[in-house]
Amino acid sequence: MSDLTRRTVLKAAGATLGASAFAAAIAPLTQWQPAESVDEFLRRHYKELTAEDLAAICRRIEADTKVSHGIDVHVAAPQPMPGVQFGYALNLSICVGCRRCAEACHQENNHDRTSHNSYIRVFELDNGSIDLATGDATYDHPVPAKGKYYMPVQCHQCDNAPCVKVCPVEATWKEQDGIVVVDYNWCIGCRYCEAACPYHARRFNWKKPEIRPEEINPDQGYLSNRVRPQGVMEKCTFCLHRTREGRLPACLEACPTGARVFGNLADPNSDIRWVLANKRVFILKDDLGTKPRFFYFFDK
Amino acid sequence: MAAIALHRPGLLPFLRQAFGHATDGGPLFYAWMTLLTCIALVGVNAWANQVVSGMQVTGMGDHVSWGLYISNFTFFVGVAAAAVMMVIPAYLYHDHEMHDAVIVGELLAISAIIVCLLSVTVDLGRPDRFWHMMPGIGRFNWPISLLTWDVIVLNGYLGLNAWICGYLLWSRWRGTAPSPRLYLPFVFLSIIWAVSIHTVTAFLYCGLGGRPFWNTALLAPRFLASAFVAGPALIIVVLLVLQRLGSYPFGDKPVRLLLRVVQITALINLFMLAVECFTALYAGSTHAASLRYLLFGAHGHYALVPWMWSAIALNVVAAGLFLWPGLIRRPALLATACLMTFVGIWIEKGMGLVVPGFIPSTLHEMVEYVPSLTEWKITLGIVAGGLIIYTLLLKIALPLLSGWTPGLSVGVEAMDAQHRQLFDRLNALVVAIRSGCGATELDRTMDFLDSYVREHFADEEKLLTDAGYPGLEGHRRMHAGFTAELESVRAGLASPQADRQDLAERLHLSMRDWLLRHIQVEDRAYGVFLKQRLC
Repeated sequence: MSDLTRRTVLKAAGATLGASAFAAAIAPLTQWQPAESVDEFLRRHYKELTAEDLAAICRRIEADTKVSHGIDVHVAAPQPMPGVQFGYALNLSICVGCRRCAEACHQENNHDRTSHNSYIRVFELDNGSIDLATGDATYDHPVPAKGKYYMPVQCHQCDNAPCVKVCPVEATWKEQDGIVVVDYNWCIGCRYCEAACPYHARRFNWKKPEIRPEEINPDQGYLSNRVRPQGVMEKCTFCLHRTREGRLPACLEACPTGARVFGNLADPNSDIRWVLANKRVFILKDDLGTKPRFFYFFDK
Repeated sequence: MAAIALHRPGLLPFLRQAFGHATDGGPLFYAWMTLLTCIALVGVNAWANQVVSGMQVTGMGDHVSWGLYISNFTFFVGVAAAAVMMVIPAYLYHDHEMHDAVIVGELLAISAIIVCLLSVTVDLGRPDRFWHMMPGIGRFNWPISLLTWDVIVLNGYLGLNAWICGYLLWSRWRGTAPSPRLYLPFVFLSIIWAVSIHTVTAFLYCGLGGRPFWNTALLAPRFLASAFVAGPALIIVVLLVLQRLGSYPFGDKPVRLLLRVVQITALINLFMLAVECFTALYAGSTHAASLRYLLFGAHGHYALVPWMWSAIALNVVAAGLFLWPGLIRRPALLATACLMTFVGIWIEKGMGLVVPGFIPSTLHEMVEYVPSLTEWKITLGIVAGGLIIYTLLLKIALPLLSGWTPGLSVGVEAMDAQHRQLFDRLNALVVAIRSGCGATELDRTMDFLDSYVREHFADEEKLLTDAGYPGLEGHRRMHAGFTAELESVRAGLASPQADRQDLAERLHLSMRDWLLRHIQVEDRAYGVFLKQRLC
């Protein structure tokens, strides 16, 4: 009996010690501040929200940004326009590899400053080959270099998008106008889409993005360039907060050579339709059947 | 008059005893559990820090976006699936000896699945949002996303094995024969399900057209082949350790059978690796870039080369050892060979499969991956957690399966106490024979059992004579039959050319089962008779 009691006491002591050690081990979690409020945490999927819900969420994000960064921003949720199918084409004959598009993306989309993230990677390729294996995205010399040409790669907004298929929670989907979006407040951060994308178009927030308040672009979209939370995926949205309001993507506006052509594929008189009809156009990794909305062409 | 029945113990005492069994043990047990707890807590702490600081504390990045966690996940899915290599002989071929040992595999499946689920959870950037995956309150992208299939099959497999083990142990505790209707359909379902968990996990990868290294139809068969090497190898090690610890009063036929399994599967696995290498390398297409990087390095990057060649060497040497007929008589070497192939496949299927899928990247950039300290801590913590669960489950299950349980009570306290002793002494003899101890010690254990059997039978028959039990004659004949059987085992042990393993098998297969059924049926019958007389 006394042995039994002793054993029980020892077990209880062990259990107490274990429990307190466990509490100490998970203690760092108390410092964790997920970006959203309780309301935001418990809200429904984007597609189940009413226009009022969405507007309320945008106001909430504006208020949160005021608290976290001390600045006034405007968060809108522009919807796809009827009769518009966005497409993008890039003229490889005149791109000089200056990477101003990548820099404009970095600024416009409120990317993390420390990693110098951008949705665009520009590859320097040898003339005479279109093999990306011989390319270099980390070149650091004056451009255009002799014997080289340049190929910027960003999200291809595929019609048969592997990233959309694999998402277990429908946190990423294709909108009516062809743009593939991510709801940063729904994504669970499993990164399956990042593994699935054949164009290295997706990025993960490995930490909370760092950006000085005065550098934040206040003109924001809920599904595009608002400051992202930690631990979620993000991607190029053809700057939908601009393009759905009739403006052009930031990367296009920054291009000094006019290599970029953006427009409505559903409009037979658009520039992009003219390019597709008249230039030597190709798409990247045609064999994968992803049906991109991003086209490359040569004109000389 | 209400029907007189003996009391059947309920669920609460069952759980209480299970908890008691799980937390009682010798110094070695407590040392083992303390060690595992410490490792697990280091993992928990590392994970808590990762949640706060973000996944930047890992070695992953936008180029290699899955690493050690998903590698470990993939590997342990295979370990879980391998339980089926014991379930099939036990239930499809009615291998009696496997019937007792199969629970060792099923409990391993439960623990391995928990390791898998934890490994995926720690890989999530937003674990707080895991509920977004729940049908009803979240958005479950089924059937389009393969990940949702994996969620279903993994949790389903966990549920199936938990039910089968739980139900069989519960029946054993209650002293009732399990109803085949309540577990056999689930057993057969679990066989198909085991194949599905691994196939679906392979489909996670091979369904991605943008990753040529994974985009091969051979992936699922390879996954299964390697699972049926690593899983049985681990179970062999577990059985050897349990035998060594004397906490496994069962036969070593399961070890022999599992060794026969890995002899074949180890070769099939190597064959498939060779086929994969030939197809990619001989054609020389750019699709072979990842494989070339893995085997030989590329563009000045060699991080995975030593890993992969170690894996190949470990698997080749182990496969050779498995084929050597003398291996079964050398437990230490057998365990070493099993551990070699276990580690070999862990590398091949983890670091050697998941990571090179990202190198070179889809845009052919070469960015390498090395797991960070945080990733190692969390991964080891999860494995330690799995081992804690497995240890506790085994500690609950093995005594229940081989010993006396309250469900066997005949309502006479003195007889219950003697029955308990009978099981304990019978098991002690089985363990003594198996451990290959000397003749004197064996004799002592035999005497210990033999004298007790006679004493108990005499006591019981006296009790029944005094009570005027009508079935006494038949009962006495059964006792005599058992004593004679014991006598023949003793004679067998004394003879110099005795096959000790065979005798041990007779003891625990036929004699312990006889004892179990005898108490369940005949002894309970006199229990009911005695209780009726008292009323």
